[in-house]
Amino acid sequence: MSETEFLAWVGQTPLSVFMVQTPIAFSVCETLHFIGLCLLIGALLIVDLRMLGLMRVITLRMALKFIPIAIIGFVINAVTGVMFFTSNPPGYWTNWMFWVKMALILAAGLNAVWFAVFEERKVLAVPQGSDVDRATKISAGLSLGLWLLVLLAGRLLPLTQTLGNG
Amino acid sequence: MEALASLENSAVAQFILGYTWAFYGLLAVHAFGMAGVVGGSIMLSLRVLGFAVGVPVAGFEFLKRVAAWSFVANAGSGILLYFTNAKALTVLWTFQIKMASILLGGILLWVLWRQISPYKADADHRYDGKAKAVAAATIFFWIAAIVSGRYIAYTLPVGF
Repeated sequence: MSETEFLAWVGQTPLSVFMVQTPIAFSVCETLHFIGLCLLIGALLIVDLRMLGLMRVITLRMALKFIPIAIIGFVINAVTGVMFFTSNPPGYWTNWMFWVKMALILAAGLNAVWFAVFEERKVLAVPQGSDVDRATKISAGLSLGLWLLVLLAGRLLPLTQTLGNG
Repeated sequence: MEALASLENSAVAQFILGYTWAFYGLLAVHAFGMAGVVGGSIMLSLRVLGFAVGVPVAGFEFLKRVAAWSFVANAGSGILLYFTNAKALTVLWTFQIKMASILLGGILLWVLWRQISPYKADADHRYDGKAKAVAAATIFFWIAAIVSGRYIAYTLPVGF
């Protein structure tokens, strides 16, 4: 399947038809995308800042309790993000900022998987009152930094669409 | 209306409108601020509602500072964006709902913090119905601010 065929196929899916033909669909998705973003960033502020050594009143184990909220926020944004894409596949595909955002999400996602597989176990084993190791701190710092960059790239998507893709 | 027109004609407004990057840069700052204020408020409210019992509210002191600075970024970028379209925005119902929601969300957050402060060192404290009602209302009005804010772009008269 060529790139053109793929984009044409996406544009003919029932989801794409729904997004194009339902006037309120895009704006509702945008609103949900913003709410998902607040859940994601709000939860990560607690998890990542705690890993970085701030908010020490909260135990490391308890800080991890906020991860499910971040996941809920991410799922809301992933679903609405796919819906955005189906509303105008060529528009997103040819927008370089879209690819920057996707690359940042991939990097942030891989970092999250790294944290879940390698760091979380170590965090749970840290004695109360002690700090996490350097690798965990780097992963937490990357998490916050990368997701904030995802936010920035997302907000600049319409700009690069407006200015063209030259 | 003359005062609003002078805001729109001000050098700052004309600069923002003249440079697309400036306009979208302000929108990005506004989004960062929103994530900090609303994200932080929702996390605190969820704790009061019974999520993550074991986390002392005292742990949110730093998050409160992050939210406060996020609000400063939000208000600053919001005021500058308002300058670019003051006349239309002032009479727009979605903008008015957004402003009212922010005001109520802010007041409720302040009330909530005062209510829960006596127990903030108690990690396992379960808050009463009154505090939970304020927490739920706080979430409601911050979400209302997001929804109405998003619909500003869709309710502006054509040509603005």
